[in-house]
Amino acid sequence: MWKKNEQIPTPASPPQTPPARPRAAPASVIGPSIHIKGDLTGQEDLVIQGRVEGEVKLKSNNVTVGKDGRIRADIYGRSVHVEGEVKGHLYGEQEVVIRASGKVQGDIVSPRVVLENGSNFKGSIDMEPAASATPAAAKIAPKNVEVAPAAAPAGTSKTSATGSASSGASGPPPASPASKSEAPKGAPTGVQAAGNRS
Amino acid sequence: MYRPSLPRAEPDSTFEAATSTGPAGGQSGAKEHPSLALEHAVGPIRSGGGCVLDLGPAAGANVAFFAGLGCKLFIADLNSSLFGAITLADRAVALDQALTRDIPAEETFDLILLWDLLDYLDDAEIRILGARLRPVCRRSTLVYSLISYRKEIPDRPIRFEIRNVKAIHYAPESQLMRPAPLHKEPDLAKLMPGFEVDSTYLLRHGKQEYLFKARQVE
Repeated sequence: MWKKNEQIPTPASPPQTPPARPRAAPASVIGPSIHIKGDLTGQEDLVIQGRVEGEVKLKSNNVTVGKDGRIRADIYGRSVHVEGEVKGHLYGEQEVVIRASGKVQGDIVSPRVVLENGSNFKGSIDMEPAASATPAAAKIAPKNVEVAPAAAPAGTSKTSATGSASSGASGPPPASPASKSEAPKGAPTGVQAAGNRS
Repeated sequence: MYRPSLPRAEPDSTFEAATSTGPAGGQSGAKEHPSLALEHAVGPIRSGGGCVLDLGPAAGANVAFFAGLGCKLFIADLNSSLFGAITLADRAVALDQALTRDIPAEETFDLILLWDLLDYLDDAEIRILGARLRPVCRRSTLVYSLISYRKEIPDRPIRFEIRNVKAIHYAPESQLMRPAPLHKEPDLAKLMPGFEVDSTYLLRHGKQEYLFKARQVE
C-alpha cells in the first residue's frame, strides 16, 4: 500500500549527454601553386595559400590567408585571418586578425581587430561596422580589440570562383598542412573556378 | 653620416614608477614610461568619434586604445617606408611619396601621432612632413611627438604602445645608437610653419613630449 511519505519511483532517466556538436568541415584550400584572377564566392571556409586577384566574398565563413598567400583583393568573411600578404580591404563580420607574419595594405572594417606584434599594417581601422560589415553600413557593433591570437576557423559547404585560375608550372606544391587536401593540378577541393584556366 | 655605436652604460634615469613589464613583441628591456601630454592630446576625442592618424608602426595596444575611445584610426607606418633594410638614396623624396600615398587626402584628423619620428628626420624632411600634414588638419588638430634630449638615440625609431593616457610602453628594437639631433622648439617652429607648439612636457626618461597644433590661417 502506498504511503504518503513514500516517494514515487521515477523511471531511470538516460544519462544526460551534451548534444553532439557538429563536426567542423575542413576548409577548402587554394594551394600555393594556384593563381586565380576573378571573384571568389561561396559558403565554405577557405584557406588561401596561393595568389588571388579579384574579390573574395565569403561573408558567412572564415577566410584565412596563409603564409604563402598573396592577395590583391578585398576580402569579406565572417572572420578574416591574415598570415601572408594582402593588398586590399578586409571586412570581417566578426573579426579580422593579422598575425605576426601578416602584411596588409588596405583598410579594415570589423567590430573586432587583432594586430599581433610584428604584423605589418598600413591603412585605416574602422571598428564600428554594421552586422553586414560593409563600408556604408550603420554603426551598431560593439568594439573589441585583442592582441592575443584567435582560433583557426572551420565551416561547411561550397565555394566558387569566377574568373580565371591557373596552376603554377613548378610541380606539386610544397607539403604543408594547408596544401595536403587540395587539388594542386586544378581548382582546389570544394572550389569551382569558372573561366579560363591556363 | 653617422656611425652607429653601442649604447654606453648610463644610470637608468627613468621614473621610479617605471615598471619593467617583460618582453614586448620580443623586445627585451621594454618599460612602461609615464606620459604627461597624452591625456591632453586625447582630451578632445574622448567623447568619441575622433579620427586619428598614426605615423608609427601598427601596434595592437594602440588600436585597442583608440577603439576604446570610439576613434577611427589610420596607420601610415612611415618607419617601414623610410627605415627599412634598404638604405634610401633620397629619403626626402621617399618621405614625400610615402606621405602622399599613405595619408588619405580626403580625410582630416583630430590627432596625429608622430612619436619619435622628428628625431630621425633632417631639416628638409621635417619641412616636407609639416607641409604634407597641414592640409589634413582640422581647426583643433593636435600633433603628438616625442623628442629626445639625450645625446644619443636608438639607431631606428621606436615602436610605442599606449597603455593608458598616462603611460607609454616601449623598447628600442635596435641596440645600436646614433647621435640625437637635439631639436629645439624654435627650430621646429621654423621648420613646420603650419604648426605652433601648444605645450611641451619634459620627462625624466630622456624624452620631451611636444604637442603641436595647426596654426590657423588668417
